[in-house]
Amino acid sequence: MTNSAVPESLQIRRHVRAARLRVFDAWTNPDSIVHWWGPPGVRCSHAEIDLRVGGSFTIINEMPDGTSIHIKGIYKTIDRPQRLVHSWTIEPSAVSQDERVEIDFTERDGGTDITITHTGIPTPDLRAGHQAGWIGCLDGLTNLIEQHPDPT
Amino acid sequence: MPTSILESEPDLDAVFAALGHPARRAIVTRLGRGDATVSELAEPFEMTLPGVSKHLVVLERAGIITRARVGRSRRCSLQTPVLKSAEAWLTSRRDFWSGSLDSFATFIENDE
Repeated sequence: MTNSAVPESLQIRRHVRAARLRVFDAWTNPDSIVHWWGPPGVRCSHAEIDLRVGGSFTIINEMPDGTSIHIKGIYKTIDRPQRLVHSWTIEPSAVSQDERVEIDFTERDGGTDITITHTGIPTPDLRAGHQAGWIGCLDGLTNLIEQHPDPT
Repeated sequence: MPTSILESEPDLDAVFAALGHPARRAIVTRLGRGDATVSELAEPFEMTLPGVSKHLVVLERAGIITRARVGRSRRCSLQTPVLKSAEAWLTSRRDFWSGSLDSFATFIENDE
């Protein structure tokens, strides 16, 4: 197993100094999302949100050279301003994905705690079963690395 | 100025830029099956030698391959440690969320 093993689920929390309603709305408004979605250094070029149960979203992150990954999902729960639940898939990928993201927004100390619970993450063992599928940078990279363990 | 996603990691911006081109990804795949000379790499793509060399320079600068002179040819080898770092970011949901929360905090706390 490589040292980049992905856990099956994760939880991460961050406090922000802003009111919960503003936080929830910035999280679900495409005009806001393009300004912050993605780690620093990675641009968000597009966000489409159909904010209703059963509605879908598509958010595009662009790498420095213009290659893009598409993050898509369907909303399961929309409980403004405190909770959001949706599915999660990244394209391109040859791995079947059944991931789920729950986001809880909690008021604290005049600001908001954002708690993200992400489950159903594919493990390296699962990806190793898809040697034949080179589709896109993500899966190909994983494929390649699993054939080449670190030299000792 | 590009920011590296993972602080003490190699320049991931250079790695992603290098892998952004389909010809370079194909070269990397081929080297994944074993070392090759520049002509061996050019042949399946019907690329000229200068054409493939341009791509090899990009890959070498990103730390993804090394090139060594062997007689009159240059032998290219894949270097996996840098690819592992990029793969770790690409597949790590935790790094994605952690970074996105940083970006979100900056956005929401400064946007009045």
